[in-house]
Amino acid sequence: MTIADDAATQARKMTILVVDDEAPLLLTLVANLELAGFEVLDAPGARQALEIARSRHLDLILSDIRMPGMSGVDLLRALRESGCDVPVVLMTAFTVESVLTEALREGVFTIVAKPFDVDGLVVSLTTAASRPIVLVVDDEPPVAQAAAAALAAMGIRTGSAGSGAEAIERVRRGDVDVVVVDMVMPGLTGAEVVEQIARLDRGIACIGVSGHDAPALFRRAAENVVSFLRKPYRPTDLASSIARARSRPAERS
Amino acid sequence: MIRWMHRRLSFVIAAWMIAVMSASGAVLAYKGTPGDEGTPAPRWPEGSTLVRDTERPTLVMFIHPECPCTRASVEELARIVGRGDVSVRTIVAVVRPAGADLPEKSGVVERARQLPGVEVVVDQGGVGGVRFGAETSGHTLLFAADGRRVFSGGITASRGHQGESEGGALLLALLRGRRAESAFASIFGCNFSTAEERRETP
Amino acid sequence: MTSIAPSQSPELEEAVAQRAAVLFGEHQTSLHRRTDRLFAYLLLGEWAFAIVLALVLSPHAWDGKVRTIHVHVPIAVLLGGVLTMLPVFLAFTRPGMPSTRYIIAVSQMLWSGLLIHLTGGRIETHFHVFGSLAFLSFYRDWRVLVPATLVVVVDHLVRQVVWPESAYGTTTPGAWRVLEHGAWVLFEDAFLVVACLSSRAEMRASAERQAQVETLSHLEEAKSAALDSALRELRSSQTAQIRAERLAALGKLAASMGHELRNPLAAVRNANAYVLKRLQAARPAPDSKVTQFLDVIDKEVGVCAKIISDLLDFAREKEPTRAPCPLRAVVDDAFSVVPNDAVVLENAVPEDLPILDLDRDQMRQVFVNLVQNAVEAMPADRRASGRVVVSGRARPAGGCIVEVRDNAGGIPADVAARIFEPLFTTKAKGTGLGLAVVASMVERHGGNIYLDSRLGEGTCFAIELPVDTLPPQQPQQVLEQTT
Repeated sequence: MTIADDAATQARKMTILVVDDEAPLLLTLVANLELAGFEVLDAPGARQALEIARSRHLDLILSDIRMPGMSGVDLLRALRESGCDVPVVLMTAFTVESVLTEALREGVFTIVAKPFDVDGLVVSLTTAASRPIVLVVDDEPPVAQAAAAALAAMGIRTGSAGSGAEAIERVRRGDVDVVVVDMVMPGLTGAEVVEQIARLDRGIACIGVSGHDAPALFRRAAENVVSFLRKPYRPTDLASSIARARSRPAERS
Repeated sequence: MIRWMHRRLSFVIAAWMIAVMSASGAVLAYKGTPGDEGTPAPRWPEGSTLVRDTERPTLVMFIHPECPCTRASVEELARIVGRGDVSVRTIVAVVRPAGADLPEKSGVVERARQLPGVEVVVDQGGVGGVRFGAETSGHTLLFAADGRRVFSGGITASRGHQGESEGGALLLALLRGRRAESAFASIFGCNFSTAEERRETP
Repeated sequence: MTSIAPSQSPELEEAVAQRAAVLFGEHQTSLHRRTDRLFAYLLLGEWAFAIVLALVLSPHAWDGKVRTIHVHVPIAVLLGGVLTMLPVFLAFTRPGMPSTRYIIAVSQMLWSGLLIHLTGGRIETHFHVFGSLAFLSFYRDWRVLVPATLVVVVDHLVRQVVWPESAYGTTTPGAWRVLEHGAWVLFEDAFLVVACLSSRAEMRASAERQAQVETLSHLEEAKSAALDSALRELRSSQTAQIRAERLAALGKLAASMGHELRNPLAAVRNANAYVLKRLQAARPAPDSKVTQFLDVIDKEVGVCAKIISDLLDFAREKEPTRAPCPLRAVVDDAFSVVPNDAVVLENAVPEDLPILDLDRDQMRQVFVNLVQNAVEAMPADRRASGRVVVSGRARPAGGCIVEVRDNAGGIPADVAARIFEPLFTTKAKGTGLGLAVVASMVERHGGNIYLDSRLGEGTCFAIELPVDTLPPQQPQQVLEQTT
């Protein structure tokens, strides 16, 4: 069974709200998602979307960013302000960097670029609706916790682990889709952790982080790591890397 | 060699100055060497073919037609006897020594002929010169109206050198009527006869 | 002193004064040298003249009927020679030196004396003295007149002393003559000295003026050079600005166009996907051509999407987000994306290539474009043996060089010159943006890209990447421990 079939089985239980002001796009998208097994609601604009969100239980909201009136980011902010923590995936045709950064700060799950591959999108949406967490691994627990807290403040669900072994344990339990690993750790190094996670073959994206220059570790981990970050990093940079990692299934066509 | 000269420039200059001064000294010495005084006759010699003036003084200058120094003597003569306040009978005797291979014409003689009031005679064989006792070209003798010799000598300051001279000044003074003592001045000019011949002649 | 420029700074005046002094010195020296040479020729001429004079005026002396060579002749030759030798020698070997011109002065005046002797004291020959003094003033150096005058005076005195008239004890008119001659000489000297001094002053003034003109013209040159370079800078920055404005306009156009185009494309793609899925599930299965054509639609939509992506990437100029980026893995990524069937892709990037801070996505895009370009350029007859090799090495100065080498037959020189130009393509199908995007991304990383192509063989694109000298982005919000 392919990942797409897997997702389709799961999707039957999920309700998605699609928001876009472009009617043809909305129409075709809704049709494809229904075909994929989701229960799909649609709204031509953010205001209508908010009404629906208030009245119905939703597993996920998929919204265009650029819309007349309220934008997708405004929608996201409004949802969070009203205490609604539904995962939001945004679509963009062409958006200025600053808006994307803003969206990341508000805790968007991921941003998908149009036009996208539908099957890939379905995988991403399924994953997003299952509310996975980002696991931050660092041998200094305060650092891991601080990073996790910063991400959580942006609305990203997180967890932390203090060693490579602990991380793999946690990953095995499921519901982790992105791991942020410190490369230099005693015991299992970040490179080894990443190798083991890749062997699990669950489509988990790894982001490598390091405060020191560790070329050997970088090289070893390179093929299993989506991107690297140098410490100290801005939380928005990490959120951006996470969002980009999460958009990969949709963009791979 | 040249670099040595550069390094010892002051030495070279000094050597040069010495050479120049020695040579100049030699030149001056030559120039200042008077010719033979001769034995000038004290009185107008009897038997001379030259005619004396009995009213006024008579001046006789003996010249060698080819002596270069004599040109100066002739010029001085012209200057002296050409003066307005001088009245003298002037004779220039051109001595042509016997046996000398002399050209026909002579610049000096032509010059002498040009002088106004000057009589030019040719003294063939130098007889007149012997008679008057002149041995050197340019030898000038002044005889008073009474035949007494009052001046004998040259009228140039040095060999072949125009310009004022002791002799010239004396002659002029005498011609103007100053004291008539016998006066003498150095003569600068070529000899009429060689030293040998002079010794032979009594 | 007349000044051409209105007001100048003290340093400038100092420089002008120095230059003026140098120029004055040069003029003086050249004048002295020329005059030395002039006198050398004059002295040689006088010597020749003296010999001729002696031979013409007084060739023979007579001693009775014996004719001898007149003393004047050897005097002219020897004393004349001695007088002439040293000054001429100095004039040609040490021209311009003070000693040279003093010796010349002395010699020239002694020549007056010699000529006077040789011409028998002719009055006219005495003019030589005055003429010589005037000639000596050509040096414009009044000091030269001092030895000259001394020589004249000493010559007269010596003649007075040595010649026999003084034996008579009377003050001859000759003595007064000395004073009279001396007075005339001093008279001429006075005027010549004044003339020398004023000439000198003129030369100095002229040198100053020349120095000022030189300085001014240097300043002008410097100014105009500065102006030229400023103009050039202005022009290049204007061109850059125009280019930037054009790109900004393009960017704006791209932005709005991107949005306008991508939505319809997304709708088409979605619709196509839906139709395809429904048809695949339908029974009886539809004609294979139907599904085939739907695939075609999907692919072509993909092509459109790529074209727009290229254009927007090029127009957007996104700053690279730098992070450690092991290039070997990036090249592997790129290989997996490029559509390719026959051509062999080899990743020869060494494992130990230094890790630089680069934008991974952008670098992947760079390699994708380069490799795809190479694969597409492979002509049909070379396809079987087609190879694209990506290799790299560290640079001794830091950073590294990565090379993408192919054996696709090379690029002609006129194409190679324009290959990085946006919208320039030799392909029948293509935006002409691929390599422009590559160049742009490489340059935004602070690197360079070079092309080396050999016709008949292949092409090598070499990318130079420097070590990132900027510190990593400073965190605005440093992670803190939660209390």
